[in-house]
Amino acid sequence: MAFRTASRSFPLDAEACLTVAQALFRIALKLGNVSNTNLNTRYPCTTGRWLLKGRFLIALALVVGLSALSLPLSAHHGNAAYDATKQINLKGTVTQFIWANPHCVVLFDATDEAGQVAHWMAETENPTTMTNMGWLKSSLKPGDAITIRVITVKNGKPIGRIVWVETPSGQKLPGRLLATVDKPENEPKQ
Amino acid sequence: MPKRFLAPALLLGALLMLPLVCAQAAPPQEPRPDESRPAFPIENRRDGWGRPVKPPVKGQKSGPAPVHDISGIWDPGDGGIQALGPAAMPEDGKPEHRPPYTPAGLEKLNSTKPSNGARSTVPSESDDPVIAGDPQGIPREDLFELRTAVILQTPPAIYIMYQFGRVWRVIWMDGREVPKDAEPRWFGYSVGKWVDDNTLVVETTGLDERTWIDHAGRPHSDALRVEERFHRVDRDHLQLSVLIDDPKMYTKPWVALDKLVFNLEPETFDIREMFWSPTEFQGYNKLLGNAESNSDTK
Repeated sequence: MAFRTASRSFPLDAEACLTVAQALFRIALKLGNVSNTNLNTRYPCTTGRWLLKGRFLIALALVVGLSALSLPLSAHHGNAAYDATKQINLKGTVTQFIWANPHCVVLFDATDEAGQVAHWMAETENPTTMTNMGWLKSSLKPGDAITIRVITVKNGKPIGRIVWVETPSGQKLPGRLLATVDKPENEPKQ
Repeated sequence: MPKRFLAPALLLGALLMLPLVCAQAAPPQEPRPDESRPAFPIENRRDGWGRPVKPPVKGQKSGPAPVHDISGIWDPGDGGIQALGPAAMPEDGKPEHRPPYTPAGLEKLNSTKPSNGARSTVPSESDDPVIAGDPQGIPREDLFELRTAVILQTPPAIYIMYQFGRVWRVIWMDGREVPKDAEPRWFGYSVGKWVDDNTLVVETTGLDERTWIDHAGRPHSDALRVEERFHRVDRDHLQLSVLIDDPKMYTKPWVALDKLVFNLEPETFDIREMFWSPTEFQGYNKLLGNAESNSDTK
């Protein structure tokens, strides 16, 4: 699992902290597996041989992972309603773009495989923060065909928090300063 | 214990102790310009006029701090947003981030319904006075949505103008003392004093009890005294620390903000408007901020 954090100073969501911890844990596990091959020949050190054993690295991974969990937790308006681990990509057509506080909102229609049209609402940040991220009030307009990635709400309604939006010109605009998983739920497997 | 376990145990113990050792040995932190910039792709930044803002030149050294001068247009980046509560005391459920409430303070805390933090509710159910349209006042102006601020100095006073809500306040520098038994005000009564060439200490009292200290709903009483410490580190960087002292609500003073770093913007930087307009908030709540549309439960 890959992860990225847009900021070192911006507080991470609880889900983001979990993601970081999980990623660190997996990286450490991989190191542990490698150590079982024959790292002693690559790092010939008699007294430090135990360092390269998988068990120690797993223990170290646990320490690091638990430390990561102690990072600041954050929530924003209604953030508890969102499931940050559940992200999907959608293709749709913008019906309205509300450039306003406290959060800007993109309304768009997306058609699923069965041909059903869902009326989606996806929120982002306030105009000040969005301007700092490269957005303009004119970034989206009704009729624009977009590809959008959202964190979905737990209750299954067509409501999301934008991770990014790709505009008709191909510009990819960030929606939230959060750690995100790389694979959306509905992305075809390679 | 077998000898073969001794070295791993010692090393693991040393690793676990490392953060404590580092914390005690670390010198006082000075601003780190690269980390204090906003997390946004700053090459795309625009000011309120829509004009691109040039990113700072990497590696360029700042000049010396002018004496008794904190004037300028200052930007704290995303560090000033503080959605969870003050940067040094967020309401994240950690015991070390819990202010030392008195019983009265705890009772007043539990009467609030913030839209953020461990006790958060959906915005439409929050009783946050700022969502209702009240001014943030002091100290919340420092502790929530602290965005770009303009500081102007005149001989008798220093004026600070804040982006969020487009409000301003005055800090008197003419030697007067804070008044006793004054009529409470949203922004209280502030006096400032230079304690060295580059550090201004501001004391504020006479604050209206209706305001919250922060976005997490921490309370205060009429006995609240706020101490702000502005320290200009060099020409391009300013630090702000905030101390909360309210013996009715808290058993001892606590630090809400610890050396938050501001960066100096160009003199031609136009600050964009940022209001929590009641009509805009109503529109947001109608779409996304109410329990019906945005609840955990179906």
